[in-house]
Amino acid sequence: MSLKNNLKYIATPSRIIITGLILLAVIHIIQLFAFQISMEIERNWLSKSKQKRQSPINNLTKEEKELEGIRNLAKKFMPDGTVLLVKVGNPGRRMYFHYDNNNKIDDNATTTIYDKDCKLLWEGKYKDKPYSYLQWPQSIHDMGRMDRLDGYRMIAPELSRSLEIPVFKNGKMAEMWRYNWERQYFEGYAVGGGKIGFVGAEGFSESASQTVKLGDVKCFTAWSRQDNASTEILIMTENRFYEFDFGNKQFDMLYETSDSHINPDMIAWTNWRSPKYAHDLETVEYRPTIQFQTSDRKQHLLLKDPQEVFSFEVPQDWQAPYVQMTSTNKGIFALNIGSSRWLPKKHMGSNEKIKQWYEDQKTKPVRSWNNLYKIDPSGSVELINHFEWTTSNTRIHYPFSDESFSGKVHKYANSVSPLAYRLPAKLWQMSQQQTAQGRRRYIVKLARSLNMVFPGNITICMMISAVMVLFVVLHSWSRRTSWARFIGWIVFTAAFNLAGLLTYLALKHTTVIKCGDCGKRRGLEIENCIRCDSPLPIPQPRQTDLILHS
Amino acid sequence: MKMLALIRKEMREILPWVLLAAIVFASVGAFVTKMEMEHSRYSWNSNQIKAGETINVYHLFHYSVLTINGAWLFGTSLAMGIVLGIRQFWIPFFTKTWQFELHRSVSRSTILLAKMLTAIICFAMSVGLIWVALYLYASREGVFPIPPSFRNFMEGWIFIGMGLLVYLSISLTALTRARWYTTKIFGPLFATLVIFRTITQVNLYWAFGVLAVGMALLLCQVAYTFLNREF
Repeated sequence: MSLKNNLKYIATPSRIIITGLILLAVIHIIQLFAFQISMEIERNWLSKSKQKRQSPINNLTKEEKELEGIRNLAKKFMPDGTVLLVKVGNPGRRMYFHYDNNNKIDDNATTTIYDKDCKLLWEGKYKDKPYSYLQWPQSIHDMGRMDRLDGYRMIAPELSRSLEIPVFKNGKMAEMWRYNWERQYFEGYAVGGGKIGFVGAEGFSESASQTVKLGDVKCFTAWSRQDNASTEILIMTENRFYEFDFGNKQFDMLYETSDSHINPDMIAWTNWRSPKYAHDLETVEYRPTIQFQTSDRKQHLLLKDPQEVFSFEVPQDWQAPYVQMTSTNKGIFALNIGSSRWLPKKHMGSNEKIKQWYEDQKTKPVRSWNNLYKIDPSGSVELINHFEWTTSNTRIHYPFSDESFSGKVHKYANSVSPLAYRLPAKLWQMSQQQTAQGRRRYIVKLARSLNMVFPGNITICMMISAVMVLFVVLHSWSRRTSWARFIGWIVFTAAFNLAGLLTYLALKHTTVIKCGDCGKRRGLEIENCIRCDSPLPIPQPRQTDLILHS
Repeated sequence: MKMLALIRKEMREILPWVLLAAIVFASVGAFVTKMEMEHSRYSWNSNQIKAGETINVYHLFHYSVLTINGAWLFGTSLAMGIVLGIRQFWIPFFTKTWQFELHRSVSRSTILLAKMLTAIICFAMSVGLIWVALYLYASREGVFPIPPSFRNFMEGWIFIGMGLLVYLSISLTALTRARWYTTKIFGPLFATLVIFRTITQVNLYWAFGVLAVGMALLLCQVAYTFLNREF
């Protein structure tokens, strides 16, 4: 068979793929535009008046509002379990702590401390406070998450950016360590010179062949040393923590796990980089700590002085996904918080149950609690104090409301999305994952990017799809060339909904004529009529033809 | 011999455009490289990192010294793809020279192959060689404090591949007999989708893969249309 004939079997499907992809992209863009415009309309014109009417806080007296405000302050525990309600910062601000650019609390910030019954105990500057309550590791705000830094790594027209760690000597840059994304290790260059070495999972080496991959970097943070401005970097991969000091060529693998993954969403630290960053070193001393969680629901503390790892399995009845832990000279403490406003796990997975639960919560007061535990080195837990408080009903918003204007637009606009999206149900479950590892990360990213156009209401989607299929049946009945193609287009349109119909019309809207024998409509893509098998009509010979044939 | 003659004929027709692209890219590239050499002496001084301070991680991501050249390479490749596609497949419709070109003692597939090979050679010779030269020069010791990474060099070749993709899409648009308001514009639209998808990749292998799949789909269409349509 010739190339011309062979190509038909590749060219026809590729044509359908190209046309289908373009039309699908156009439809999704229009859907997203419609949804964004509806959200703007709702935000600017429709929702403001409704929110004022529904807010129950407006029903409280001035004194009650003030008491509510105090009840909602940060809860701080002393090592003996005493509860303090603390506000740091300017009046009226909802943030509980003031941090400067280096993540350090402002010593002169106004601080107000109440007891658990909302009686004022003390007010003054933060540095003068008389109470040394427990401080918890702070989330590493300046940690670079690789999934959020993808924009720097994209192959954009201005080329991707490199992760480069400089090393200074005598005020000038002497070395640069660049991370090789493909090979997963650092390459070192001397300024003006050549390569000086490599850094991998086993530390510094002089050749690439001796360098072991670090693994897929998930997040990292960097700081310069107090003494000589050498740069240190803390790197987290799927299952390891590394710390490098590039200036002094020091390397440390702080932690490794083989049977679980480190969760990059839940990393916090205290006093790790240098004493300058210690939060509160009065009567309570804090060991340098990095707190993190692994996928098996265990909390871990990486500790220095001496270096060790403390692991703790979180009890199933602890509500919060995040547990705060700190290691002090008075022991290891854990804080677990809870609220009646947090969606119970048993309702997850069912939109109807979630909606009903939110409706029930609208009329109930909010009950919250903080539990302070002490954990001994063997892992046993002792409850030191359980503190509970109730506040009036604040606004609760059902996040998936399909009764709002934008919710309705979203529901109906997504009804023309392909039904085929619903087939890989597991794909959509994966899109709800907060973290994914390895290759699954790319699938989760794909699922999240399609989440906005997922056909939520299956009934409406199937009804629209049925109408499209009916149209295709009527249109292609007279144009059909074979049963396989006819059924194939019907299945394609059913699976891809509007995109399928438009693709069919773009490729198959051909001319039809009346068959000379049976009188019914037929297409021109095949020689014989599909119904009576008669050939195409032959034009009558003209005068010129008679001369040639005679 | 016939293939060589066809290639020579194609080269004669498109040589002015190829030379123009090469001259523009080479001169801009040389000028920009010189400016980057001057600028890089003053970047990354120690005032940017203070002792005992946290480093903003976003400040650790640096543009390559070939950044501006990369942007020019991207633009030049796309422009070359458009021009070559128009010159090879569209202009013969206006000059009505398709019949002259096709009614020869060579098969249509040979003619198509000669056009494609010529386009690939032109891309390689004009922008490809200059990109290699720029990278090799920038990698020499002493030219820049830190040489550019090999990844940036490969990204340049991805841009050249995008130029070929655009060339195929313009060729398909020229050859298809559909109307503009139906599927005639779908070639460039598909190329746009593929370029957008390639640009958003962070992994080089995936980027090459997406580009290769896009080029394969368009190449099938171009070949099928060219071999089957009536001119």
